[in-house]
Amino acid sequence: MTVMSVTVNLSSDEVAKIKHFTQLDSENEAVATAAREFLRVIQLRELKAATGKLDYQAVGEDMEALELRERHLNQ
Amino acid sequence: MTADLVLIDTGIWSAFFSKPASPEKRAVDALLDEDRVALTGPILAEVLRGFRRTDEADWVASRLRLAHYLEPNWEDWRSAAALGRQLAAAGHDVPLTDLVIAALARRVQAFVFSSDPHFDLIPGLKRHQKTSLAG
Repeated sequence: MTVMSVTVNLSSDEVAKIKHFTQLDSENEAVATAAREFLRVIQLRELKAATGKLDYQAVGEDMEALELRERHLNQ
Repeated sequence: MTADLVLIDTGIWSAFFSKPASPEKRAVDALLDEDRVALTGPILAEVLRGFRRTDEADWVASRLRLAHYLEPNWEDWRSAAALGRQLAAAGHDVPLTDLVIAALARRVQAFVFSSDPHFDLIPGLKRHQKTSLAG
């Protein structure tokens, strides 16, 4: 993995908030942590768009539980 | 931090991935937005086992890796065994996976999101949306 140095322009208020929420004193570490956290959350949320688009087969007890619940709701 | 997390059981993930109009899908969407989704090893393995295609399982794994991962420790395994003995004495045979999930969730004070009735038997467990999914 290549590590790149990037210069970003942020207001002092934005930097202060980033340091506050990351609980880090170093501007460099705080901004890097915030960027990584942003990527983590955004990529995790990509799961939402995958529903119904993947070849998923509930197995064993999971399938039985789903079928039981659906029968119950349809009654 | 972990007190707000929700350990989502396999059955809920099954509905999330296969039933777009389900209440489970809506609930997990909300938890993803709030960054409250937690996983542990047995659930991860069960979920990934459900994908027929390796590339899809790998993609889902790469995303689930970004959720909060909770690892059972020595005391969780001991607690699971004790819980299993206690429930067996009352005539309930609860799978080891459920016992470990419950022990882990109780230690870190996370919620458990499951429609599995085994979890109804476990005292001191914080449940997520139990009532609304019960119909």
